[in-house]
Amino acid sequence: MSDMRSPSKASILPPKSLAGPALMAVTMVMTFLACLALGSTLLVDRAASRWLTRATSAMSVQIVETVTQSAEEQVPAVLRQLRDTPGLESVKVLGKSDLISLLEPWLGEGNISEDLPLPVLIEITPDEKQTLNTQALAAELKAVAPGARLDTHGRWRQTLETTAAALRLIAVLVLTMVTLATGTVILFATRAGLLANEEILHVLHQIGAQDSFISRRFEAHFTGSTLTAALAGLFAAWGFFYVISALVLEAGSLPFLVTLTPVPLGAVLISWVVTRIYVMRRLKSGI
Amino acid sequence: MIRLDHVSLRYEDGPEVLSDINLHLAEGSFHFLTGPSGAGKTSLLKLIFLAHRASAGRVSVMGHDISTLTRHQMSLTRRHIGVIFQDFRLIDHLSVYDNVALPLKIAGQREGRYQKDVLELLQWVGLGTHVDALPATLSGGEKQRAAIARAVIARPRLIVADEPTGNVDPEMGLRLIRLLDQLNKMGTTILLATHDQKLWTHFAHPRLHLEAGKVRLAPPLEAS
Repeated sequence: MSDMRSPSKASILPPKSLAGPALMAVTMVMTFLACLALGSTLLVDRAASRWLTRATSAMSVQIVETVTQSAEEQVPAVLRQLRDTPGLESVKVLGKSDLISLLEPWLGEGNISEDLPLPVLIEITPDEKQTLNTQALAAELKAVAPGARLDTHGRWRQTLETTAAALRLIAVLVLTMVTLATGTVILFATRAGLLANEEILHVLHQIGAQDSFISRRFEAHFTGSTLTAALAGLFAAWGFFYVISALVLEAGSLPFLVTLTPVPLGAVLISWVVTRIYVMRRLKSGI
Repeated sequence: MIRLDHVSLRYEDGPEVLSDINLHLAEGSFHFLTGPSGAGKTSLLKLIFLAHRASAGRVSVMGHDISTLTRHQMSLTRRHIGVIFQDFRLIDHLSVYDNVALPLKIAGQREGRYQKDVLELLQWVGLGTHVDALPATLSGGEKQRAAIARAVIARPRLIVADEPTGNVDPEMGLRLIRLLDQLNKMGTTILLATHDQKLWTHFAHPRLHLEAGKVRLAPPLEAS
């Protein structure tokens, strides 16, 4: 009898009666959904950012004929004005073949006749390092060539910005709902765990266990289960994004996949906070 | 050790279970608590082992006025009280060893310090060969001895037992009370509720009789 035993590893709370497979499954699914919401938001955000950069960098000047001047006659004045404008990286007059290739998607290949009056289109690229006053440039162009119109693609940019903002909002809402749902599920599981182990709680209290001692047991149990399930959800999400990287290359990159790792940690944090608050409140409602 | 002054107890809005109880038990004493079923024996014990607060009056245990104790202080005070329940209240998924070691684990002691004590105590109560057994595999008497071992392992100053022999055969019941008697001789205060007349006729200890919400001291009977 005096031989030393190996230290006991028994958990005071019965592992089977607390968080069953249902809680684990729900937590896994919730984490998977949260990862999808976060990952999709990041991908859309980066894509929108790229689109916006392209839209901002692609500006053009369109010159149409006026009552007194043809489009071609106005080109030299416009080019002079553009060359004198600071903040422009390049200026390129598009040839007729370029214009036809731009129009063909709408009018059909070979449907553009030689005598169709086409405007002159000048593609300009703003210098990213400098700020370009587009309103002033539009006015100056109008002053030197009445048929010239600066197209900053502002309408497209605004649409893109609005779409990206809407997608971000949806993702935030999804994340919020998933967080609330996960918290609620854990809350119910904790409550069920407390009820199922009420007699053990009474015994623990009776032999002098403090609320924090009991609460720590519940916290350890639920955060452990949540971590396991949430990691499974993260791996599932990684698998999903890896598969769709065939369509969106960035989705399979290591830095992108790493950005999803806070999600299971967030799930564990939610689990810990919910369990702690609920168990302490329940225990304090006793004697 | 225990003092109750004009203590009453009612559960929520129910009728009064105990009414104007006055009681004083000295340190190192051994008392039986008797009374008919429903007299309030368990309720009185619950007040003493700090599972309930009195509705009125003053309960003092080990010099502490219970009404003034915080939850933290209540927990610390409970560590000096060993409770033995009729239904044992062992934790099913823990071995006999882990059940008995629980009060020490809760008190924050390291297993290296208490392991020898637990094993020796289990040997003393005759459970040396059941150290790793789960409660479900034990007989009623063995469960009760494990419950007693859990109640005494932290060397409490007070042991409160609620019908500890209710689920064991008479011979085992007598052995259990002898065990408590030995602890009492070592200085532990014992309060034991029972409806088993054989016990209080067999052991010459004073008897508190609770009836109709009132408690009175009955003289010890001649030991048989």
